[in-house]
Amino acid sequence: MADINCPMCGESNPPELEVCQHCQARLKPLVPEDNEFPLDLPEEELPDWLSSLREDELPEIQPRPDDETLDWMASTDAASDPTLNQSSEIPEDDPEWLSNLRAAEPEIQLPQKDYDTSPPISNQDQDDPDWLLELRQRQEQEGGSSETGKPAEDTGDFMERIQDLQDNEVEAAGETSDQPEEAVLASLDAEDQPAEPSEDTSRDWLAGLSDEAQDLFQESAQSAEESPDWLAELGDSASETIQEPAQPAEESPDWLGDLADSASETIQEPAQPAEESPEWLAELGDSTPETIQEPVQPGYEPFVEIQQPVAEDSISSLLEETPAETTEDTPDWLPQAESSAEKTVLGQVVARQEEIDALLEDQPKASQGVDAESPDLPKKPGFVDTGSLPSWLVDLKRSEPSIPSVTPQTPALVSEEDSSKFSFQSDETEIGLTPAELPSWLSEETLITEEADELIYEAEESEASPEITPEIAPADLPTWVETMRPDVQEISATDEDAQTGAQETAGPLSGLRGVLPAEPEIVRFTKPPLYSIKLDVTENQNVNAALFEELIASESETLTPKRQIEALSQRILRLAIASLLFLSVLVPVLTESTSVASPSAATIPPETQQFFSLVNEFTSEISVLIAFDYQPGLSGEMNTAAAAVIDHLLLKGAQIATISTSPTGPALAANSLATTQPSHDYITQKLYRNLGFIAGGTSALRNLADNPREAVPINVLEGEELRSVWDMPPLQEIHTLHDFSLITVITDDPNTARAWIEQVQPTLDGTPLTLIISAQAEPLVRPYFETSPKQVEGIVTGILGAASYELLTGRTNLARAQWDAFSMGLGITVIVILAGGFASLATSILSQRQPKRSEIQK
Amino acid sequence: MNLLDADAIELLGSIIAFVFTLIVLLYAFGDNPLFRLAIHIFIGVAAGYAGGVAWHAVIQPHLVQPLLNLGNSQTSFTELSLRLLLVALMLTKISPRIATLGNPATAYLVGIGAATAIGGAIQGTILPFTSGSGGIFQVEAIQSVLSGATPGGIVAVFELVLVDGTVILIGTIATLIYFNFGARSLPNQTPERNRIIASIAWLGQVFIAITFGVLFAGVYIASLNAMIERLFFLWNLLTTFLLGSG
Amino acid sequence: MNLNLKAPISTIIAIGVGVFILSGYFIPLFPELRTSLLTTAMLLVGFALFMGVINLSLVHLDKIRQGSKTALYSFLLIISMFITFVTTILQGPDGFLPNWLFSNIQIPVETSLMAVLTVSLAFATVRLLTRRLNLFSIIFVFSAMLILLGSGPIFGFQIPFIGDTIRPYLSQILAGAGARGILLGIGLGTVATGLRILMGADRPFGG
Repeated sequence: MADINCPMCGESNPPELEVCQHCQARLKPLVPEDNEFPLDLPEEELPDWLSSLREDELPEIQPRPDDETLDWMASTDAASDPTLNQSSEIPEDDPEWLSNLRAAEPEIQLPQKDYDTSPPISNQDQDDPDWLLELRQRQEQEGGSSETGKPAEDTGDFMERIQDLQDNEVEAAGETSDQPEEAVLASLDAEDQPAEPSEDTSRDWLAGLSDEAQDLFQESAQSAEESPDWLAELGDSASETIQEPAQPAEESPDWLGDLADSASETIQEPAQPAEESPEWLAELGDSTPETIQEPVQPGYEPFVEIQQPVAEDSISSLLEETPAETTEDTPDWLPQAESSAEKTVLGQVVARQEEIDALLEDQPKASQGVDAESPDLPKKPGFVDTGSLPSWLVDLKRSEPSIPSVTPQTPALVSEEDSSKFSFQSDETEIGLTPAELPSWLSEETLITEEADELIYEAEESEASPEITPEIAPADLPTWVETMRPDVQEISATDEDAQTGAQETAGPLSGLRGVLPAEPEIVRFTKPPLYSIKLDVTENQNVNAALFEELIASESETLTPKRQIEALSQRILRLAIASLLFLSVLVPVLTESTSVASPSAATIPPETQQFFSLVNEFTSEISVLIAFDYQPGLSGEMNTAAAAVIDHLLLKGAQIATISTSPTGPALAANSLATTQPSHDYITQKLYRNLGFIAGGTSALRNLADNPREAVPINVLEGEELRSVWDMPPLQEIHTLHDFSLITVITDDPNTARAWIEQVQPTLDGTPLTLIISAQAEPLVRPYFETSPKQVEGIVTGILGAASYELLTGRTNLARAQWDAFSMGLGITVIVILAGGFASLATSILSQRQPKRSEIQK
Repeated sequence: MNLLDADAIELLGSIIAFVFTLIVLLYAFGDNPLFRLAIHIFIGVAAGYAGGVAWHAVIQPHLVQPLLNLGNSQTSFTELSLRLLLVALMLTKISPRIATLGNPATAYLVGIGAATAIGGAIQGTILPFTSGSGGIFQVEAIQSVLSGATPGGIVAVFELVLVDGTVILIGTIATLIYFNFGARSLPNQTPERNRIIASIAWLGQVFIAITFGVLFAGVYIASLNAMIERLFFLWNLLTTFLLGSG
Repeated sequence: MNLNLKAPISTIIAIGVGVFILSGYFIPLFPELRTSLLTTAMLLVGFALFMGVINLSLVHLDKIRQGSKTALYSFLLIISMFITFVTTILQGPDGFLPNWLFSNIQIPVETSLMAVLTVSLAFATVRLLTRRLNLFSIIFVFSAMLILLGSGPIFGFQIPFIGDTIRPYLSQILAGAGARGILLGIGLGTVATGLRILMGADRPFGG
């Protein structure tokens, strides 16, 4: 056998399972398939209460002779369900309305298969009560059609109970459910197709219901979750069966809509409490005193929840009804069925009632709403649509306290709050049905106690609810229906559980408090809690989040340097220092003073002394490579320092070749030589060779050291001939750097000096390497002079070295001219630094002591 | 170009130099809008001259001329092709989108630069400074004193050996140890260096402070010389102009 | 060691060329090849300098096109750069106009900037003890003062013992010791960094 797909979650389940193994939803509907009555059980297996109900023959439901057909029944499908047959005779003591119903439905066959009596509020298949399961199983096994005789036998009891219910005041459920038929139809048959049966089902006794109730019934019937098969067949096209046991509760059968419509129009008894419900249903199964709660809705109150246990015989009497008898015996307050379909519906209702009786007998508890107008019809749990209900039903329900409406999605559910209040026990017997297993109209509040009887009776006498829409003429409720109405308020007042507990929102017990749940908690499905997706953020968290966001945003922002505004004191100090320095240097410059004594011999640095000695030892023409590797900004000091050395070299007859690893080197070389050596024709005539610029830093020096001709492939235009510079004097004999007599590097950067020392000096092989450096590079270059053997043969450092060299050569040069200004500048600098330093030191010390004193004073 | 023009141009140049010098020197007393003008012009001239020198001194003799004299050049075709390829790859560095294509050329430079740096450091600094020829103890000077060539006697030797050499040795080691920032990480404690190492590092920090002080003095002296030179230039130009015009 | 296999060509080039050049310091083999490689490196460095100038011009041209606040200055920069470049290309670095521009604009401005540095250094020295008063700052300032005092006559007077004893000892022995340590540290760091590059551990060329 093929696996069963769960109607809720869609998962595949083995065929033998009743409940889905994934979501626990009902797999096999409680409503018998093919609209067959499930109550096809052998007599010995029937519960006692059902058997007792069936013993009494139900009066035939004769179709109404007049045209007082319920609109809702008239709108049902005209084609009567041939499967529904009513062969049972209506007892003579059947109420007139029931007789009329039976007369209108001469041929109503009860469904053959088990029908689903699960609670109408259940959106999914609930766990069916055992009795219902048994019924279904038996039905499947036997496959026989249900007997229609048994329901007929119980008609008498059923009618009696309805009569009793009329004396009681039925609490208006106050239900404003959107699925008026949901509670009733869902409990009847989970497989019933909600829309269709409403058109077909009609009963004689409901034929007189108002058109408006019928219309409303039709509308809401489409959303009923479940409708019993036998109701679905009443007026349905018979070919359509209800196969959706788990339909949402809003899918109520159309027949119920018709019932409500017709009922609200024709049956209007404002004085009657809306809580009135058929007595026979109220006596079904529950003996605990609970008020009947019937949802009061304007315009539609097809059913009245009754809590009074309905006597089996009354139920049976209601069910045992032939269509013809139903027609004839239709109560005046019920419109005549306008078509045979209605009669058929009524007959089916009766037949269904028989099954209900049998089921109720096995249920200990059940809450079932019973339509006051169609007492044998299951009541939609908790729904009251007064717009389409007869007025008497409307009155019944309006007198009930408001009952929370059943949600469209889960009309058959019994709220957990009210679950404890539900009890399903008849006065006489325990029907043995759990609320989940009962048909929808039985699974609701059907607990009728003696107190409920009184309540119904009182409700029967109450004023009509102003909620009835003016356009719906209130129907005249029969007295027996009114007496059946329990006084929900009184019941609630007397019942402590009803007062304190949660209010039942569905089923016949809707509106009541303190009822026991129709379903066990484990099968009670509730809507999953909705968790708000909105993030609850406290103010403190918001502040921290904003701060964090600001920190992150600041990381990506590019900081624009702010123009720092110096304090006035700082600006004054800066101006003062600048003025002093400029003045101290400008005075000797303007006066061209040379009064300051030159440095003494004792102050001559040894490296300068050695440089001089080295150059002084040259006797013949020498070729000197001078590298001008300093920045133009330090040309003042470098020119001053190099002037004496170059002058000495030129005096020694040196032939100079200049080179540079800096792009500005060649220009600096020309400028320096032209500025510092104007007295030498060798320079003014530009007889020296400028090898230009070699790019690459250390790699260029290494290349120069390995192969200078390859490293400097310069061609010079001599006359009209382009010749290589290496072919011209003094370079025609130079093939390696070792061939030079002296290599002097003029630089201000210790790194450049180090590069020349590291790359070139190891390849010189005896050729001295000397340096003319700035004062800022001396500490980092001097260690190369102190190595043994010396890597640097001589060093001239800045203006002091130049002055010392000039002292050694005896030739004054730039150093001498600048010595006075240099002396004055040094003096002012020392004074400024000393004075300012001491002042700053004293200020900082005093400022540190003041906070301490203030702290001590405190 | 005749002499007049040359003199005129020289005079004009001198005036421009005078103006630029004044504008920049006045920055010592406060910012002025002409300073930015002078600086931007200076940057343009410096960049333009550097680009021209690079073309004349490097690109033309090493790439253009060999290409033009392909047959007579000493540069082989393979070498020239390699240079062309690397130059073309280097050109892609202009655009950020295709800059990755120039990575091989950059890698070439980096490889050669690293090799020359390693070779020079070993050959020119590390070996000479760490070997016995480091000159810390000035062996030649000691020999000269002992031989009598240099007066001083034992005192001079003592001074050279114990004072100078030892101080230099200690200072060099202490400075090297200062740059060692290895520390032990102890549980629940901040990483700290070894106490002995930390003490020697403190001493090295003293030597470094002295060295930086000497370097700072050298920079100041260099800048002071620049100031003196500029003021001399201004004064000489003024006197030449005044004397020349007068 | 992280063997990053990205950009294998660049890594192979760097390592191959570098190892060959380094070996030339110790094993004088293939001098012509080494010279060729070094000459190519010189060409690439010169070309990189040339591209730097082009990039500078593009940046300032972009500023002019965007109409920034410094567009006028950028315009002057572009003009001066263009004039100098063209004249240098045409006449060579030793040409009249390039030398004229260099001598009358670049040297005066750079030298003047160095002269202004004197005031800034003096001002910074005065505030040094206020901002950061600790042992090493005091040693720093004291050493600088001694060097300045011993570098020349102060107001025409040579301070005895400072110029001929203290200053030489300070600069040659004490500062020399520190300088030796710094130079050794630079050398060792250079070797370590260079070896990392030649081993492929560091790839500053974008690999």
